[in-house]
Amino acid sequence: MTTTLDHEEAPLRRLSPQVIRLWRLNQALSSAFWIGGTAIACLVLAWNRVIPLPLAVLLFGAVLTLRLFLFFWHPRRAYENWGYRLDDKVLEIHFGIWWKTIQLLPLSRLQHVDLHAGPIERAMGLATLTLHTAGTHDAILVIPGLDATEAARLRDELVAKGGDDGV
Amino acid sequence: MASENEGMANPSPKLPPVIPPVPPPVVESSLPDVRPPPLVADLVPLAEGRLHPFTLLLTVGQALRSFLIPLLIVLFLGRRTEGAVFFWIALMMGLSLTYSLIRYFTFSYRVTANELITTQGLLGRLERKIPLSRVQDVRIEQSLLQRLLGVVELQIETAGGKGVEANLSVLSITEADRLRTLILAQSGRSPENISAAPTASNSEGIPISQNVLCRLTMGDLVRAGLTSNYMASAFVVLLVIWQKLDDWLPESVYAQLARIMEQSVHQASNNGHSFSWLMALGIGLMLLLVGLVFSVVGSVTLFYGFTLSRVGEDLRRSYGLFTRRSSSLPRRRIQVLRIDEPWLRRLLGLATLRADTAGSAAGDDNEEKTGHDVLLPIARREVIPPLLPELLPALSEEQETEWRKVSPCGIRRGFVKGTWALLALSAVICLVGQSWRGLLAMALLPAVYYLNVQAYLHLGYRLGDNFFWSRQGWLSRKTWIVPLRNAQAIIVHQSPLDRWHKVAGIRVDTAGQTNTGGAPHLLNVPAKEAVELARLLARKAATLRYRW
Repeated sequence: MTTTLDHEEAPLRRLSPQVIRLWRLNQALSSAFWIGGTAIACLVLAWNRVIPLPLAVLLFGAVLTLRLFLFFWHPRRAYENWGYRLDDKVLEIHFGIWWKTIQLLPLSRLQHVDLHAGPIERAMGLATLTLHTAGTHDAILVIPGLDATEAARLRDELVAKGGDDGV
Repeated sequence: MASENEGMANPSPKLPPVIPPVPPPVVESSLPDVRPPPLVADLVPLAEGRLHPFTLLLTVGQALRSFLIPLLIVLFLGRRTEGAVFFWIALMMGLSLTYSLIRYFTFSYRVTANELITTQGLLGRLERKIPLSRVQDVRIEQSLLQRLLGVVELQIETAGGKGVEANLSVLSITEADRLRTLILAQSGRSPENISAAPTASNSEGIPISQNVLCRLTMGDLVRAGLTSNYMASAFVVLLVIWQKLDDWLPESVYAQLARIMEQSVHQASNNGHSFSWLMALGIGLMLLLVGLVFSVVGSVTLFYGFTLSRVGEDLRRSYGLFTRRSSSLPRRRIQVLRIDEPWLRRLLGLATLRADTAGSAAGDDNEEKTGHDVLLPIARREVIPPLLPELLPALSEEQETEWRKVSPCGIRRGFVKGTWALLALSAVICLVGQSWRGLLAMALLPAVYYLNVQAYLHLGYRLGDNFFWSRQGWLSRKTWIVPLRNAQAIIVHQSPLDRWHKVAGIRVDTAGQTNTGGAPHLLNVPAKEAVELARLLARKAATLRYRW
């Protein structure tokens, strides 16, 4: 492994910071559901003396803490850990806070690219890029939360660089 | 048909004689160049036709067979409803026959320079076009009945969908062979394959390609059976048989058996032997023996007369005692190659070769029953290395590189994991047995350590110019060879514990993973090395041309 990779030092490109808001919004929606659900469940169970009151409070507290954690802490850390790097031959995608993953895609293996934006994403000017290879376990690679224009530009660049190797 | 006078004792393949493949125009050859000039002529059929008339006979036979059981049931059981049920069965049979008739009379196929086109249907017409450049595997199968009639089934597999994309059932032998030759010649029409030499066939018409790579003898098949995992299935069969027998056998038989047992127990105890041990041992041995017989029979019937040969650019396997199978796999389609040495075979110096194409049907459990999952069912270990360049030609130009080991922290991690498992086991035994004896399980700790050391010593990878090799396993060993031109993506991943140990896992994703499980997951590679290796792999893969 003596080969030096000159592109190694190039900094990772980040997602749009807007994605933190998007993830927070998603978390807020699911948190509302979870916290509300747990509150009702704990109340009903404690009222009927199925479980003692302190346990119900503890249970609710645990769920509340987890959801608050996922709402405030997680999106920012996830954003900080997401990144991608594109050179003339390879696309590198980095992500994961505790369980870190790097996916490397030789561009000539790219089968097709999907550009997708849901209603909320569109309102925030974001888009998700999905890359497909002919592989099995890792046949689908995803870059979420890109700035919409940047996503379109990246897609065109990927298709142009990967296009020469038709099968 | 050749097989009629040869009988089943002849191990030579009964499948059709090889017609020399169409040579590409650049090669000077005395053989006629049947390929039309490109452009407009691409649409002119090189071959067209319909199924063999025996298709009708076979489908009628099949319809009769599938309705035979309902008919018999009605005959034996039904009295009052007989007439109505007969009517329904006759109606169903009539419908099924009509369907077969329509299918037969409307089915036609043709091969043009670029496509195989099948057409069928009377009211709704289905036309399927298969680009020949996408053909992964061409199979010819011939069941016992089809052998008697002298016809075969031709199956075409591509990378899309599940299983076989076109099934021409049934064709005459010569027609099937003509189509196979044509399809393979057209599918391999790329600059790299221009040197593909046409094959010769001898006067008797038995295929002797220029390169028979491997031929399995009866001894090989018996060894394969004795060491195969058919054992488990054999036991299942036995169990089922016993259950069936249990219903039929009268109680007196059991009483008789019990009396015999009692007598022998009496004798044995007089002799001072522990009878139950002997009995258990005897039964165990019997089961083992019967299981072995089953596996040997299974292996011999499936792989009888196995021949692996190279016909031009295609790897051809022919085998089978009753149902003869032949599969032609263009060797450039191989996505991953795996050399398997399960512990029993490794002890005996034997190995199995598996290969995956992008067309390997995912989740098709028939692959094992039909033997399509192995490229070479069994061979002596030393036969395999010289064979590899025949399967992956670029291997012959490969520089010899050293095997690299992963981080030795794997030993520690494995040992810690094993220790926890043993502790849990001890705890369970102590609690259940209410004694300290459970702690004896901890005596296995040195063995656990030794196993982990061996696993570390035998785990490794090797990166060449065009191939990524990896191997693992001490008692049972697996070696993977991935042509880098087929690597689809490279994944590096690191868990919190990995980060603590400064290591990472690495995985190479490929298109076909049904038979080989794809490239292995290398764990405990030093983190920096893993990232560098992954980048190198990705760059190499990007510059090599991917071939379906």
